[in-house]
Amino acid sequence: MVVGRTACEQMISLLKNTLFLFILRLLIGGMFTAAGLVKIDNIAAFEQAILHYQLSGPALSTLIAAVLPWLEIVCGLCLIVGIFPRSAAFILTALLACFTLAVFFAMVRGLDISCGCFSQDPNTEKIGWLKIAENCGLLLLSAPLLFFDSEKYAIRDFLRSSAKSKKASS
Amino acid sequence: MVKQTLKEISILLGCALLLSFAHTLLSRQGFFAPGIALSKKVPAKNLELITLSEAKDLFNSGSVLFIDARHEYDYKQGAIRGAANVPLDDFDAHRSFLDKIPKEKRIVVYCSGEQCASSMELAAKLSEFGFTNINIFFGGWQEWSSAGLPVSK
Repeated sequence: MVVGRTACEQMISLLKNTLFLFILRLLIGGMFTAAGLVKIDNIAAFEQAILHYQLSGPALSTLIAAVLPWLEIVCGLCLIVGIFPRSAAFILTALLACFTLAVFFAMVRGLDISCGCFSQDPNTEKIGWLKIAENCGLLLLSAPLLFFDSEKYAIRDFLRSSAKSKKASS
Repeated sequence: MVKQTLKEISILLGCALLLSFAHTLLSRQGFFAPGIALSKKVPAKNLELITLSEAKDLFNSGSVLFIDARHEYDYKQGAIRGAANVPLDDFDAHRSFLDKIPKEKRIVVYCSGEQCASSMELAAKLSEFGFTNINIFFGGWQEWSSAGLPVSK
């Protein structure tokens, strides 16, 4: 009983660890920024990838294709530099949950389509259980960013400390 | 805490919306794709936009070659009946096929629909390749299939 509690406490202290949270921020933020940059390169192709899911009409797909990559980039960069990290993580986690559901529904309906996540080529990155497992893993990794304060190693801290050292030297 | 989070989420969403608006406007993609804003004539003299009814008339005449500019995957999912597939990204691989077509043959190029610009880009490439009689059907696959016109699957 005591052993179980100690392991649990150790796990929580690891999840609260500022360096661990910083690494998670870099990982999740970097991944979404990269995914967004791939998509803005060819919005028409991304729109096609969205249409393949058969969940939205042409107008909604055009809107999603235009906004989603920038949302990924903005939130990804904010997560990396530590601006509104919890809110950025919240948006990215919500996006991940939506992507996972979209992939799941496409699989249930027997669609043989590309995920459209990191490549716009319809013949690569096919959806499947592996993609769902990958997304679930990322959801688990992003969860600590929602529950624990991850503002350490943020650009705000860096600016504050550099201003303090400037003040001290003057 | 919740109020602050909502405020931050609104700021992030606002930034993304502004950036996407500016990006699509400047790069003429999405809602600002040429297909939506373009006038009847395309700058190059031998390229002309046609409507669904014009495309249908040309299809019924049987003397026109329809070329699908979409990816092979989309083409295999469904295309205008009899259309050939020359994906824009894979143009060079289809040069030998295009060489066999008389350059004065009337060609109708299309892609997914009004939001895509690949039909226009392919038409420009075909024009450079020497074809002299090219039409662009901007309504594309979406308009054609919605109208219940002949398709191949």
